[in-house]
Amino acid sequence: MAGNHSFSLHALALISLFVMAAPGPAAGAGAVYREAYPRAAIDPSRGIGGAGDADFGATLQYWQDEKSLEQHKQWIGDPEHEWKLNWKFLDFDRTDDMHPGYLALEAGEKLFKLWAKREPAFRTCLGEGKTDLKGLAATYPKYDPKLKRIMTVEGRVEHCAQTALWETFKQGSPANNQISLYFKSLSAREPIRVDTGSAEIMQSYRRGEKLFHAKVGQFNFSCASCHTSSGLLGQRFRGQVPTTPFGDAAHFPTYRLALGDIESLQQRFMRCNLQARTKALPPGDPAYTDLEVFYTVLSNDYPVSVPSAR
Amino acid sequence: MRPIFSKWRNLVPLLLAAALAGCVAQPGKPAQPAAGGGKGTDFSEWPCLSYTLACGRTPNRKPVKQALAGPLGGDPARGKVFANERSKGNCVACHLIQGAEQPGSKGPDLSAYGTWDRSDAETYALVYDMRWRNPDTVMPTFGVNQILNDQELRDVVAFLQSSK
Amino acid sequence: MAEPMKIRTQLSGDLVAIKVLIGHVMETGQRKDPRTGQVIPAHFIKQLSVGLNGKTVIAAQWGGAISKDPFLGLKVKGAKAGDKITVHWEDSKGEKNSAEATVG
Repeated sequence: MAGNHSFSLHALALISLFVMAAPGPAAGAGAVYREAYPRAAIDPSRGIGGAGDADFGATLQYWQDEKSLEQHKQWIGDPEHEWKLNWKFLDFDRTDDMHPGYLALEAGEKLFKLWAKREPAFRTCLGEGKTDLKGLAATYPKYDPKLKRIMTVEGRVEHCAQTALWETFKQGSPANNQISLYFKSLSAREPIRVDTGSAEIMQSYRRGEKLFHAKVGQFNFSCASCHTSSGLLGQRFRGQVPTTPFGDAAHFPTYRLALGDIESLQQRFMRCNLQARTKALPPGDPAYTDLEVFYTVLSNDYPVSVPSAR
Repeated sequence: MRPIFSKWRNLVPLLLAAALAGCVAQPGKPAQPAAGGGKGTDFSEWPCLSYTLACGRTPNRKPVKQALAGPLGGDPARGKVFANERSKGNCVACHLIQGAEQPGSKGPDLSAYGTWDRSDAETYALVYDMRWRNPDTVMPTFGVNQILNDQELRDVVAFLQSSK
Repeated sequence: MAEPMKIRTQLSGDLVAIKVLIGHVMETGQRKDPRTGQVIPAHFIKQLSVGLNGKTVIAAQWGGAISKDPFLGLKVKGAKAGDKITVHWEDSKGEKNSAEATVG
């Protein structure tokens, strides 16, 4: 290149323009080139209210409560409109109907009571000092100042099993899922209340929001690619219609018909990643925990709906 | 004119840096082109969400406008299979194409693509990587990320061009 | 082996809606264990019957096509409060289970 006088400033300007035109965070010296899907504007303080935004399908009006679901129940089974109900009609806990998730719930109750009887510290650990666990799960994920990390329900069960019982109930294992399901069921119908006033929670939320928009995997998909209206939300995507992320965290751990088993939210992230040809991380991974915080803030004020089926 | 560009030789380190930056950012391509995900892959060679694993720092491959080398030489019948096959192009997931069962509704209807009068080169470059045309596209980069190899891409282009 | 069974009944007029949730692995015998490569042996419910006050209202022959933890819903005419519902099943390994409920 030395001595090539015809190489003009224009060419140099074009190269730098091309590099800068690529979407994503501005690359400083040594920064890795990562792409992100265009950021959808979300106000975490609105919680579930954000589901009414056009960016996320504006479907909140159809599924926000029993009345709306009842009014639009003719959409169930209609492939054109069914997705607008955000599958909330499958929250059988509303109709007190039955699905195998209830068997898992019974197993979880039995397992929990068995261990809590042998070691009362298991109960008080889950209750953070209290013995009555009602309503507690609705405040998760939360920051634990003693352990200095964000705790999800599954993480709490894993931790308490480790410390109080010297047992390993790994996140994603049947034992952990069943006890988590039971613990969460004690908050059924309670509105989710993740503390957005906590600095650590908001930092985790921001990290999760970034992950939600990061393009990853062989397909260069981000969560936003499928779960925002500028992406595939509301569009037929090979026989299915992706729906809004708002309100999703409320019904996990859920009974999955396709799996014949209950699945936690982070297991679902794992499966989603796998299906999108991205490296799946184990449940409990800090990245998934941040994503779970993000997802749960998006469900703030929506009632916990376990056990449900999907 | 800014002083630094008054001497041409001052441009050399800048140009070299720009050229090298492009080279370093691209991960090395494997010897054989990977055809789709396949079984047993855990996809750790692609960018991931982890804070700790290496894939968390793997860069996304940059947009490429790939030139079509030589004549197309694609088989439309094979291309139709790849376009409808989930482990291959899976174009049907988002597009209405010929032979589609449960087509997607996000991408434009391609069932009459052959009547659009687009060149093989342009079609190839778009299927290879849509990002040079639309940086915010949801469409996967079939060429850059080696979801389809060169011959499969040519077959898909041939199928599109024959869709009338 | 006490696999759980849940029965719910809902009476409207003389029509009772019965819902039964049965915990059973319903293994088809066609799946392979991913770790050993061995076929997981079949284990599914073969006969199932629902009775109303001792009279059989449904006699079913099930197979591997019924999924895990099956759910059965049926409506029976001519029921009244206090009637006894019995559910009984027998599977391919000879295991059995029964459960009862009273129409409320």
